[in-house]
Amino acid sequence: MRERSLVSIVDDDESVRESLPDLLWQVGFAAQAFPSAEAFLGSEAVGKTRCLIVDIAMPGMSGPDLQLELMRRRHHIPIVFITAECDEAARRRVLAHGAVECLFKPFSETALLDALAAALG
Amino acid sequence: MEAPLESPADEVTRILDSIPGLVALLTSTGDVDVVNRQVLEYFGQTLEELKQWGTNDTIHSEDLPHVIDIFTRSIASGSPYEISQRFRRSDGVYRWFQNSGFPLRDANGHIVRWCVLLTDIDERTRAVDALRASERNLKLIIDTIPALAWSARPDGSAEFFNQHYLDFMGLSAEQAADWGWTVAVHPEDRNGLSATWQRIMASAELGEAEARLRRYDGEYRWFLVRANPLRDEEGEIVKWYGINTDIEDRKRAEVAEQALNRARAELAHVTRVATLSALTASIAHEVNQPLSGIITNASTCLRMLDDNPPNVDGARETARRTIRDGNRASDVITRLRALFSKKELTLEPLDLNEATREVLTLSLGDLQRGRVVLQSELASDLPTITGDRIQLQQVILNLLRNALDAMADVHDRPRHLLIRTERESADRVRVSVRDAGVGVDRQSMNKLFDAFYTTKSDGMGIGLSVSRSIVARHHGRLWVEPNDGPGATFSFSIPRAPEGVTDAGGAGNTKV
Repeated sequence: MRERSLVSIVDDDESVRESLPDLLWQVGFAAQAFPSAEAFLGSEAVGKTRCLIVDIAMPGMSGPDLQLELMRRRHHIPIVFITAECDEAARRRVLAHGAVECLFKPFSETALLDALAAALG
Repeated sequence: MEAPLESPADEVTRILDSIPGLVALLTSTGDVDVVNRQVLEYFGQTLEELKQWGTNDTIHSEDLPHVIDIFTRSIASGSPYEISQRFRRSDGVYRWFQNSGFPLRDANGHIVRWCVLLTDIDERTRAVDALRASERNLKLIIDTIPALAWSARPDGSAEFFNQHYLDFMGLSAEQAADWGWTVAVHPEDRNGLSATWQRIMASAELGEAEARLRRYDGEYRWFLVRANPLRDEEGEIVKWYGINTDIEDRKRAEVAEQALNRARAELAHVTRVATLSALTASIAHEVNQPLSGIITNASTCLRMLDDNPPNVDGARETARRTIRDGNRASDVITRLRALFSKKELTLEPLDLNEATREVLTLSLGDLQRGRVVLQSELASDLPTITGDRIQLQQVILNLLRNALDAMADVHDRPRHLLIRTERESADRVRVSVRDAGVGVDRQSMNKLFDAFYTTKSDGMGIGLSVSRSIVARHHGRLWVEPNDGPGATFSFSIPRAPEGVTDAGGAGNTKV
């Protein structure tokens, strides 16, 4: 069996950390969830992650902060942002910095899978 | 032994000398003839000197012309005289006397003598003078104190006004007397002042009132009117004394302060309304989180059931999470409802036109950004209603935002927005917002007002649900109609006075 690609999830919302890994597993990915950007950066997952799903607004380091930090560390991980705030300006900003997609919560399974496909394509 | 007989002249002298007063007998032509001892002692002059009273300072020079005038005429006519004048005492001091002369006639009626009685009234005169001076002084004080002083009879009618008061009103004492002064009271204050005055009189105690009084030049100024009763020994009120103090400046400061407070309240109010959009964003955030979980879990659940063999345990777990997230979203709505319904409605008289204008002012930026052509038709005959200003403004704001959103994708026609207020019937008013947007279809019209139902990609479908519950709490209704042309019209109508509006505990539980 082919090894599953690791998708890491960084979100302070527990229901996301709980539900998204199961869905990702169901569609063929390995998934690991972190409650904060700091927790993710301190883990071994940084080097193994093929795609990152990150919440924009988080206490401590925000999603866009994490995006910049990874660029600084030259970890070129494709990022899909998710956010509960319909903030078009924030969306444009992260896309301009190279994010694959920015999905407004609640997003459909199709939208998520399309974004992952684009990220891993 | 018999005492030797006195001569008649000696007898007269003895009698005159025993009178406790200054007495003189004059000839029929008014020349001093006989004086008693008291006269000699007082004046310190001889009889011969006294006969020259018209030329030797016996009479105060200021009084002399007057005395000569009266005296000469009296002697000529034969009628008695009475003069108040000053006579010089032996030590040079002039004292006031009452100088009374009356003619003595013989059997034929011819005047044979004049009898003159000089009564020392100096002390009395000085006392009277002092009293007069004191009165003058008092009057001066009363007339010049920087207040309007007055007195009134026990029945409340005015008796006295100081000059200051009369000058202020530009009335004569006669014009102001009794109830005449009330013409100077501002028409709006007349009933209030009259009622207070009656109440003070009924209480028979010190009392005060505030009223505007018209100055002679027509300008009204605010006065503090104070009245104090004067009682007799039995405690009955015999008079009221009062003072009116000009408090115009203080009153102006008060008015300024009130205006300031109003402005502050307005500002707070505007801030509250303005933060509604921020509130909406945070509500959206809170609801979007569990909604996201619901969709992800449901998707996972379906996939687990599609597994071969079906992952029933996993599906059960994700279904459970779906329910939990659903409840979380529902809690948010409950809290939101509580936000609008926990407090009692703050009912106040309200001009819906003004409330609408305020909302329009607040939304002007958004309307311009949305390139909306705004037209407002605010009925001039709109009656004042009773309602919760802020909540109704939130409804109007919500309808306005919806209209704005509905026209966001309109590019082939002007984005017309018409907001209208009108009198629906004698006691109902209506506010409607007509847009030229995407419109509503008949099937979804009723669902529009359900929580979570939305036609927008970025909306949560909460605004109309909350709006409808606010309107319902005003015993009104909120509805939508498709336009003949493009777009839709949202309207709400409410009664002028929502009878029996209770607190919202009940309304909060009502399904709207």
